[in-house]
Amino acid sequence: MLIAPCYPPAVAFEQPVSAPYVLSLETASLADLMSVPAAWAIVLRHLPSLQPIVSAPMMKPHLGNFTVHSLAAFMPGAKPEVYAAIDEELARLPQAAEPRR
Amino acid sequence: MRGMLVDRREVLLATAGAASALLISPSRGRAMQAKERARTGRGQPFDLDWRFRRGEVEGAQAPGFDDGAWRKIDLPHDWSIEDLQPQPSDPEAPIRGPFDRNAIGGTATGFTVGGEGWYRKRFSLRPPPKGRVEILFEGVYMDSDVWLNGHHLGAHVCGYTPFAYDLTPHLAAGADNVLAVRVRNLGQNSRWYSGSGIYRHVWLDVLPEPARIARWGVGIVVRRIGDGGADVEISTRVQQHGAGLTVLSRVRDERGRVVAEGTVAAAAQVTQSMRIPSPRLWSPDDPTLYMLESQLRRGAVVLDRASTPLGIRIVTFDAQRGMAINGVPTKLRGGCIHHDNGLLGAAAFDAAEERKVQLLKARGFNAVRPSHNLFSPAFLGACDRHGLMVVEETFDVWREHKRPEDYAADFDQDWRDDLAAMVQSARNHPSIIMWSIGNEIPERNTPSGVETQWRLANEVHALDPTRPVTAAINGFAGRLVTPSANTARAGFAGIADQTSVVFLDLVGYNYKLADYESDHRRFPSRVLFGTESFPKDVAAIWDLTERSPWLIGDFVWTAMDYLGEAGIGASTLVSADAAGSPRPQMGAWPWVNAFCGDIDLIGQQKAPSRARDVVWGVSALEMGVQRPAPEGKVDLPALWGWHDEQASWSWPGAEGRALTVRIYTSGDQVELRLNERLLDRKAVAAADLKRIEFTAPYEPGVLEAIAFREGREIARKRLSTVGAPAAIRLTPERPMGGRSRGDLSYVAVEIVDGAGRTVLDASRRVELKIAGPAQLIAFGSANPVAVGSYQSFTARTWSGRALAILRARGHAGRVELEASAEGLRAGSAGLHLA
Repeated sequence: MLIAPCYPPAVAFEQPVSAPYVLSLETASLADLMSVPAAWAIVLRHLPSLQPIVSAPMMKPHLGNFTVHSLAAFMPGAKPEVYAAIDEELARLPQAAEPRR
Repeated sequence: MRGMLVDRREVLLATAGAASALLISPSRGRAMQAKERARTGRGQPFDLDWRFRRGEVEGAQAPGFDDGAWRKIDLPHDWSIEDLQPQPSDPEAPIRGPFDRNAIGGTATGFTVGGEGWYRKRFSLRPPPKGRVEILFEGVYMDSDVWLNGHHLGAHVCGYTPFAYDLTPHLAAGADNVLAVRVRNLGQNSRWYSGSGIYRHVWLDVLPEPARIARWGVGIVVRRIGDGGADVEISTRVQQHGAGLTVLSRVRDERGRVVAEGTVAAAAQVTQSMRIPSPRLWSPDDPTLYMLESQLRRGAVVLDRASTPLGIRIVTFDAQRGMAINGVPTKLRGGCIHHDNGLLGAAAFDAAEERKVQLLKARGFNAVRPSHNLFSPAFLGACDRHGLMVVEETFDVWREHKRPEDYAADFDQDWRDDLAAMVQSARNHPSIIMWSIGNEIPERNTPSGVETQWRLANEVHALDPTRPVTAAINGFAGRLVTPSANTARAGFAGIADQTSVVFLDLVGYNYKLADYESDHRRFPSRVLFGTESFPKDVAAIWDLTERSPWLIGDFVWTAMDYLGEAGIGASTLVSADAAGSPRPQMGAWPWVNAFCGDIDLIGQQKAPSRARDVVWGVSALEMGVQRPAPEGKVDLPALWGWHDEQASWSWPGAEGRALTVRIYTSGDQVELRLNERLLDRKAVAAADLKRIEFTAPYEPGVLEAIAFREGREIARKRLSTVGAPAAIRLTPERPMGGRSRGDLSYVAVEIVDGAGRTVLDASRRVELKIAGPAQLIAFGSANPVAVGSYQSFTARTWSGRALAILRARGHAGRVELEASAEGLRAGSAGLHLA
């Protein structure tokens, strides 16, 4: 016997609770990184080719939806060792450097 | 949605063709003021005898306005595909056919022009109705206002959702009525070609009494299949039902035999459970359809009726077993498409919508993602009939704009109505297997975006709890969040997930093949699929898909070429040392076509489709030859592109040069022969992902590839050098056509050599002549750049081909076509319209 699945509506909206967060290239969007000047300075020092990409008008609405990793195809200098170096420096930032949401 | 609207959730689905026996007879009175007479009945076609004027008009909503000089048209109609001015002779002209280098939409809309347009139509009702009269627009792009006899009925912004108005209060009973529609496609409001105008059907419902079946008020749910039958639940909503009325629901099989029937007393909503014995199930391979007839009755008198196609199927999803249709594991072999019909623009003729579905099925697609909006009822009906599964989607934006004047400005006001219109109008299509609430939404990772995700997903679940909800997520899916018991989808309370997807039942990935396996390890209960992918990744995607139950399929961007997003699939010649540089993204004028499709603008197979044929098992062997580039140059495809290769061995001027030959095969060895000489034999390893390359010195003759598996030949393919262009060949896609104004006939135009072989590089100016009861409504090629009109009697072939599309004039007869071009033998063809 095949039974049709059911996807019932939920009761009410409550904002989901955010998990503890570490600033890194894998876990932070471009918007997250840009909202922490010290973090963004680190990223640009290693990947200066990011600046024109994030400044493009078509890119601006999507800064919250891309990580540095996801733009690798457009950055000739993006390599695993560069990512690792950036993450190492980001990890040394004070914890108060939590991105704005 | 604004104004005096009929409640769109409460009117019955008026599918194309349903109840069309109830007629309208065009008035032949005043030649300049066409009008129609409507009788009682639901779903009367209302497409004929409109007047149209492109541009702003003062006072055209007034009944007495003189529209005598306006153009007479029949719907569906898209003014953006019409010529802007006569064909220029200057090759550098900024305007070519419908394309304008200075168009505000730019590359996004393929340099086409929107603006404002007005439609007017006269009609009368004989006898005057005692009940209710409604008008249904299936789709108007966009921002429309409608007046009846000078009374403003309402406004509708979204260019893709259907909407209806109650005409009853303002009808001039027994006298002439004037309907006026203003349509505005202004500014930069779309990321692709949208078309402009009343580009889908219009229907009139004339009901004898106020009591009626609500619009989109019939719902069908298949609850169980087994024990020799299927249990089906039918709900019917009735408006102004009163006492003594009944609802009859009757299911007929494909041969018209009644297989289930029931009658209940009418109420605001009634639910009937029926068992259909020994059902033939709907699936992509066997899309069997039943028909549900719904009647609202007073005794034996039928007050209202509706017909709804019914497919009996149950679709399930889980990460362990994947997707199953009626218990059979099935992968989504999908393609994304936009809604335009190539040379016809956005005009949603039923025949064009059906042809699109048939072209996709012929290339092995079993699923489509109509991006990023509700498609026409005709398209969805064709998907039902041909077995093409649908991911039905709405919203390319929520509150944050992608273009300055897009839907984001209206989202807060209209989303609930537009979402409901999509779900309720389309929910009975068995082809629709899930709903998508958005594509690459900018704000989706913010707290307000997460809330919007929940509101949309929850609204869909409330409207249709039988299908899962998805969305297309590009890039970063967000940080981890944990939903509460009140908010979470069933079974996922307290389970952490990413912000972009926390309320989605299935997760669509745009261009994230590299994340599939790592995301599966992080979120093992997630069912995911590629909502968009690059054509070049086809083999890698399917290699993973076939061994991963949690990965239920993929939708390539795109299955067909479309107007707009010009040149994202182009390839560019660059110096050989720049071959590894970032790929160009968007083409500039005169590119007008995205050119990233498997199928081109006129329906022909392109190079990526040959590779897909092999990956999907449609073919065991395909071969393409890289177009020879000038010395020192190489071709660099854009991200959505493909190498410039053709299934051709005709490269005059390349004699003696080493050409790249790409072989796609499911075999394990391939032999390449040139003029019967063995050039090379190569093994195909698993890591080759079904593709290898050879180098062959060009000389005219026959290039032949032979594929083997375990030493046994499985397929061979030949490419022959063709001769010089000698003649034109015309080939109707069907020898017979329909005669009604909605019927189209497609005629292929090819430049052929003396042996009748298509000359793929032939670019010839062809002139058409047509005699008989049909008019030419489109003529052009798949050329991705603007070369001129799509509507004149002359067109230049591209890749040796063009396409003519004829529209019947409304009566039967023989249509004769003749095509001529300088230096070529003329071609001719005939077709019969019945």
